[in-house]
Formats: sequence, C-alpha cells, structure tokens
Amino acid sequence: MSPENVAPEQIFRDFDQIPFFYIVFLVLAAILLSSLIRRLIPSLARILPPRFSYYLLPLTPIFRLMITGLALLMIVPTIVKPSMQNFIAFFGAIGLALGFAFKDFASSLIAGIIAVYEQPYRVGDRVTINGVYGEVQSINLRALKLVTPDDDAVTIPHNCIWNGMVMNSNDGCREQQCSALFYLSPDHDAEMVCQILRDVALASPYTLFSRPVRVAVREMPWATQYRIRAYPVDGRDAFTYISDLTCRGKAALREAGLEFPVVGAVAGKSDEII
Amino acid sequence: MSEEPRKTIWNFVQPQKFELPAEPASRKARSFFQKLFPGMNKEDAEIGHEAVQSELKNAPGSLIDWLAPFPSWLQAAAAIEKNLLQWLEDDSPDGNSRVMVAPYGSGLGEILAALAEEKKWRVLAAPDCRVLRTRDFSWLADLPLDSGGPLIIPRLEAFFLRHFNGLEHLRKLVEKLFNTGARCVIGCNSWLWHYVVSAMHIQDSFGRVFYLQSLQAQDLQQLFCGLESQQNHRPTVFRQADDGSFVLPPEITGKGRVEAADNITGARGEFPSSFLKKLALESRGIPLVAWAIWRNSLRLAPDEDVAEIAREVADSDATATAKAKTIWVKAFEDIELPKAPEGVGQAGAFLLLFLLQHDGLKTETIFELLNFGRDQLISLLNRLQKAGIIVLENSVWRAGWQGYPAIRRFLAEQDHLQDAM
Repeated sequence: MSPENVAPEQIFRDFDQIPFFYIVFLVLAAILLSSLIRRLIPSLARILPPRFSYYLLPLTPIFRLMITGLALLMIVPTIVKPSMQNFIAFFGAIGLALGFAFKDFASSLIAGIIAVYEQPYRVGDRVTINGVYGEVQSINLRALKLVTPDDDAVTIPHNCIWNGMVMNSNDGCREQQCSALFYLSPDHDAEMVCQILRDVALASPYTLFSRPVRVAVREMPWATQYRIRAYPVDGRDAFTYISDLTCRGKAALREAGLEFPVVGAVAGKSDEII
Repeated sequence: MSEEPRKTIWNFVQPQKFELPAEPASRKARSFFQKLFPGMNKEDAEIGHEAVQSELKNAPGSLIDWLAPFPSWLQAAAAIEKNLLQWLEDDSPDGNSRVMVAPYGSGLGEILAALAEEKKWRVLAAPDCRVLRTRDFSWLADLPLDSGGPLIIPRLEAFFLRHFNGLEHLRKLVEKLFNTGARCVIGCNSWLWHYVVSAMHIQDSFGRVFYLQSLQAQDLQQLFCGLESQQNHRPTVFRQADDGSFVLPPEITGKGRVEAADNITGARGEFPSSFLKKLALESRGIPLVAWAIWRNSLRLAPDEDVAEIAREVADSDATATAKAKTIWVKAFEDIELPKAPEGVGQAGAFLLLFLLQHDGLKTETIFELLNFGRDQLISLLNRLQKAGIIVLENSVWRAGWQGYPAIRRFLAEQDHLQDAM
C-alpha cells in the first residue's frame, strides 16, 4: 500500500494497545517537573547573591520547553505506530489543524521557541514591547508576562516579535544605564553644574562605579538640559535610582543658587522635553 | 649575648604584596560542607575536656582590661616611621605624599596620631562636618601647609563627606596638598580608599600608597602576649575551655613562674594555637577586630570568685607574688559574634557602607546623606545596634569591631562590598 493511502486506524495504535495510565503519568510528571522548575529556579536565584539571578532565571523557560518536548517525544510513539510515514502523517495533520484552527496560538508557540533561543528578552530584563515598559517576570510557551513600574502585570504573546520591535534596556546584563534630566535657565556656569551633577551621581549609594558617570549638556531655546547618565549597582533599582538622582540633583542645584526655567516658558514644549 | 629584637607585627607593604591570613584547604572544604549540611559537626570535640563551657563565668570588665587592654600604637607608629625614613630624608622625593591604607578597625588613625605626637609633627585638623556639606571652601585657605616637618592627616575620612557638596572639599584638599609640595602622611581606611580609587579617580594625585599587612596568627599571638604583660604582672595561663589546650604560650604569659603553678601538667599546645589561626581568619588579620573578639572569648572557671578577682586586679602589689591564674578561652566556634539582622536589606547595606566609608557618622548626617525616611533610618539604626552590629559612641554611630566580619559578609551578599582590602 502506498503512503498516500494510509488509513487512520493504521496510523494510530489500537485503542486497547494505548497505555493510557502511562500517558497520564507522563503528562502529570511533566506538569509536576515543569512547575517544580518554575519554583525552584527563582528560589535558588533568591538565595544566591542578586547577580546570579541574571544567569539563572532565563534558564526557566529553556528547561520547561525541554520537559514539554521530552514528554511529547515519549507520548507520541505510544499513540502512533512507530514508522516514518505515520509520524509524518501525524505531525503533518497536527500542523495543518493547528495552522487553521489556532493560527495565532501556533504562531505564538513557534515565536516562543524562537524567543527562547534568540533571546530578545529574558526573565529579569527590562523591555519595551508595543509601547509597554516593564520587567520580564516569566516566559511561558505562548506569552511572556511583564510587570510595569506601576505594578501592572501585562501578558504579551510571543508572536509580537515577528513584526513588532522589542527594546531591551539591559539585554541579559545586570547593569542598566539610567538617566536623570534637569532643566536650568540658560544663564549659568555650565561647567560648575556638570561638576555638581557628577557629584550628585557619585554621592548616591546606588551608583555602580565600574561604569562611567557622565553628564551630557544640551542647549534648548527655553532652557539648558542636563542629563546624568550612570548605572545603578542593580538594574532593577532603575526607577528608585532615577528618583534618588533627581532628588539629590534638585537639592544640589537649588543650594548652588541656580534657577530653574519658569513654568510659562516650558508650557507647550512637552514634546521637546521627551 | 644580646637578645635578638622581636620582629615587628606592623608592616606596611605595597598593595600588590598585601595578603590575607591563609585559610587551609581542609578548613575551606569543611566550611563548604557545613554550608551544605548545616547539621554537620563543626569540629570534632575532644573527649575529656577540662571545663564545661556553659558553666564558665563572664570575666569582669576590669579583669578583661587587665588582660587585654587597648593596644598601644607606638610600635606601629615606629614601623610607619621606618617605612617612610628614606622618603623623609630624600631631598627630591617621588611625590610629596604617602597614603597608609588599612582596613576599618586597624587603629590607623591612632597610629598616625601617636606618630605625630612622638615626632612633634603637625596634624592637619579637619573642618566641621557642617562645613563639608556646603560649598564654602574658605577653610582650605587657613591650612598650615608651609610648616617645617611633615603634615599628618590621621584619618582622611574626617575630610570626606559622600554628599554632592562634600566631594569637592576632598578634591580641593588633595589639589592643595599637591600644589604646595608639603610632605604629608595620610591615613585612609580601605573603604574610603576604594571610593577614592573607583568613584573619584584621584588616587594618582597621591605619591605612594602602602597597605597595612594583615596580622597572621603568629602576629596575633605576639600582640596578645604583649597586651597581657602590659599591666598584668601575675603569671597567667590561657587555656581553651573545650579541650584544655593552651591558646597563648604559657612560658610567655606565665612570666617565668608557670612551672610552680599546679594546673598545667599534661596540657597540650602548639603555637600559634588553632584558636588564633581561626581568629586571624575570621578577623581578616585586623587588629581591633581580633582584639575585640579575643576579649569576648575570655572566661573564668565556675568556682572563681568574681568579686575577689576584681579586688586582685585593683591590688597591683599582690600580683607580683601570686600564683598562676588560669583564664579560660571559649572555643572559637562557641563565641557569640553579632550577626546582621534579617530583613534590613538594601537600606541597611547602604547605611553600613556609609558608616564604614566615613568611619562613623552622627544621626543628623546620616539623615542628610541617605534618601530614606527618618523613621526607617531610626528603625534600622536601632535594629543594627540591638544586633551588636553598630555602636553609638559620643553621638557617633560606627560599625562595631566584633560585628565587622558579619557586616562584610552582609555587604557581600547584597553586592555592596566596596572595600579595597
């Protein structure tokens, strides 16, 4: 008989030959192992010094994917008669069904597999996807979960990587550059302000000294913009760090008798600020 | 034949020659397995120990002061002078300043102050902390930089404030010292030195840098024997409470009369003792840290009359003829050392880091330097004080010497270990 004419009853094993208990056991074991991994790795990352979490947390989706793949590989031969034609027909049929019925779901699944290996984002990264900024909390097979600075949890399907842009602020590293902006009335000693703002960053307890602290100056029609560029010891403190720099910077500039631009001059210029 | 002079324990070396007390591989392996299996026996306790540790009495403060008084720094000062002799006599020296770096708890400030007093060198007085937090640099104009002998800055920390205005004061001081060309000996603790190097990048403005070499077990033995005989004329033996072995050599602490004593027959000991080796390791060879832990370990036998001992301490004439006294030393593993309290987190790490970098801070200054709520800082200070990690002395909060090893471990866990040594 030619492969094109294989009947369904020849692809699948006879009903009484399928070891249902074994399959249920495998599925349960895979679920158990997967949830164990999901808990174990973050717990381990919490015990170890924070720098290890950047290496450990991204391993979670890889292990979970491996467990799922392994379970599937073990289950399929128990249902399908083991021959090349049968496997091609089985996976072809599943692929076709998924392609039509769960196009987006399948797209997300495949994108998820690619995301695990290509790593446009990892657990612990700070990313912007579709205009949403947040820390990647977990990567599941279909979607990833972000937690925004406002503590909102956002679920984004992986297929966003096909056409959308993923901005990753730290790209798997612990470090993340932060910048704090200051605006001053143009008439002042810029060199002194740079020195004060550099010292603002050096005085902050969050600052990482193995990376440079820089102050960039930009003249605008209505004010002089100063931007402190520095790194916190732990990138997860980015928002706290920016707040700390801003508070210290404002206090330092006020003490030095420097003038901030008046509100009227800034009105309607919000686009330029950004 | 003249007696060979004892080798000094105070050595100031080039940074690349600095070494920490070595940890034997067997001990490393043991501590690794203890971390994995906390229930594992810490040490194989010897059978038939001579005193039950739980029954030992705390020694009265006056006795501890008698046995381990605060160190005199004259020998250390002499070591610095010897180290600097060539530079001082050189007409065209390489660099006009020398920086002596030592870990927190090394007594470096006291050592340099003793040197200045001994040699009648001028000590550069630091401005008030309130001046350092302003942009008023007028105090620099009044510095007596053109005096004859070398200038001494015992604690560079006194010129430092990690504040947006404070850093410029230190830069200007360094610049002024460089410009005037006056010879200057500067003491700086290793935490501030790390900041000077990694954050301010002004280390090259100084001439040469020397690190205080850490004290090995042998050095600690010499230090404690010296302290013991400083005020105590009575023969004394120091024995470990769990196995009876000698912690310090009885032929030294016994002052030549130990043979007449009745309680040392059969006791064992190799020197430096394992207690001192463990102490050197735990304290990282830092003199005052080791000294504070040593004082904490001293105990009296259960049958000793504490009041009687206190009277004996006061009566210095009687000690000259008295027979040997045994002081029990707690086994190192049984000494209760402060531990960082749970949950103090990053704010606690920042607070401790700032205390170390400034060599202590007043409460108001802490409020100004750290952007946390006052109530949070007060709560932190209280918790750390209760845990014995920090102490309040003369309105200044500083890291406790006994708590220093725990602080270092805690800062390492929090990834804020910013220490040059």
